[in-house]
Amino acid sequence: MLRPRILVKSLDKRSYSDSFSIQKHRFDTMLANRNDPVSAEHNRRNNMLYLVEHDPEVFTMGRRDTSSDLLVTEEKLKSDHNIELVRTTRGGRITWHGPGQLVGYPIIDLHHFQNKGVEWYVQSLQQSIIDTINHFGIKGGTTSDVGVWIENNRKICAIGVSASRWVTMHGFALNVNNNLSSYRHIIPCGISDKGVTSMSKELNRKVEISEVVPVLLNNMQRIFDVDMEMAPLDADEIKK
Amino acid sequence: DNCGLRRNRSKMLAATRLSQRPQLSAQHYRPAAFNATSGRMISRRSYASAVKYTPEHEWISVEGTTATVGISDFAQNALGEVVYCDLPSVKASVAQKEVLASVESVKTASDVYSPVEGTVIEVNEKLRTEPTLLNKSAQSEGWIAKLQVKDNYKDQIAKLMDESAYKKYCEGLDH
Repeated sequence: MLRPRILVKSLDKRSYSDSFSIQKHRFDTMLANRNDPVSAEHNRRNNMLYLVEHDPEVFTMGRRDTSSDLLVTEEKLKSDHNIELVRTTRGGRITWHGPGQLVGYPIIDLHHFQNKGVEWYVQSLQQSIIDTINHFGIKGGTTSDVGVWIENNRKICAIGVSASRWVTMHGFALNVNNNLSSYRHIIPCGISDKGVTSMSKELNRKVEISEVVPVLLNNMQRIFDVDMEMAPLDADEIKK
Repeated sequence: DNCGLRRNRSKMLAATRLSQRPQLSAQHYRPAAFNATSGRMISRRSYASAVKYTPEHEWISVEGTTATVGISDFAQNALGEVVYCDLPSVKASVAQKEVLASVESVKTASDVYSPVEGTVIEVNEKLRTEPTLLNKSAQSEGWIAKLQVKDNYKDQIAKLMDESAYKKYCEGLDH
């Protein structure tokens, strides 16, 4: 049997809500395909990874109400800073998304991956990121809190996922060259005594997302043991 | 007076029998145990149906018109340490294959689906304060919800896997 395949689609700069619609549509299609053995096999070769930079910037929360992680009111966030707060279906707490941050949304059926489950999936995402930033000379690691950390005290990549019937949605957010100032409005992921950082901040030079993507895809291909291929956007995925 | 003693004794016995009757409240709930070979739930009443499993790793066991639902040991292992359980509300009705509950582990919110149509009559309150109970005892003390079901439940669970079929299913997924 062929290895599973993940098609990679770049959404470039896209709003959070547009990106969510695209993810959701893909997720629904994959679940619907399961009902038929022919389309189920098609699923195996058409798992998806969407790469995107969210523009405009947003704060997002997971399923649990973690509004206590917000240091200003939602109204002030909108009126004074023009940033929206979105409630999502993923796990995890509050985090920020915006230009300069590489966000990845793998929509994959964990049944295709020897049904190893979500713990394996999240650990594989973490390892893929660690190996990627390591390629650039940044030493990252994991702690008891999910995500990728530098020297245990600053977070460079956040992870927040959902799994419905073993198909994943949401994903990871790696700080590449984004401005970190918006994080001051929140307690990132509910952890008050640690900070955030980015690849550019660690290396003291501007790192481009285009440099990072090929390295990340190579690492994911190896760690997930899949075929990964760039694919063009479908008509309904193209920016309006 | 012997008659008096006999009457008191039978009253005492009746009272004991009442308190021994299985209660449907969480306070008096005794964890369900499963026979390892047959998969049958061992209960005080002998008419419990055998445990059945869905392809998404939920289990269901029906006793009379009460179905108990949870996630399998295989599923809890695949989730990692559970940090939060989002339980349904009592009296909520749920359709077959609709989301019944949600479980969070490693920053992942995982949906649990109802194998049958029914109305929630009880949820496992222990999971609110001790979510890791799902890891420790997914198929027994870590049950998630009890549903009131109608006669059509038999059709709804007919195609689900029994213990040995489920075991093969889990092993077969490794290819």
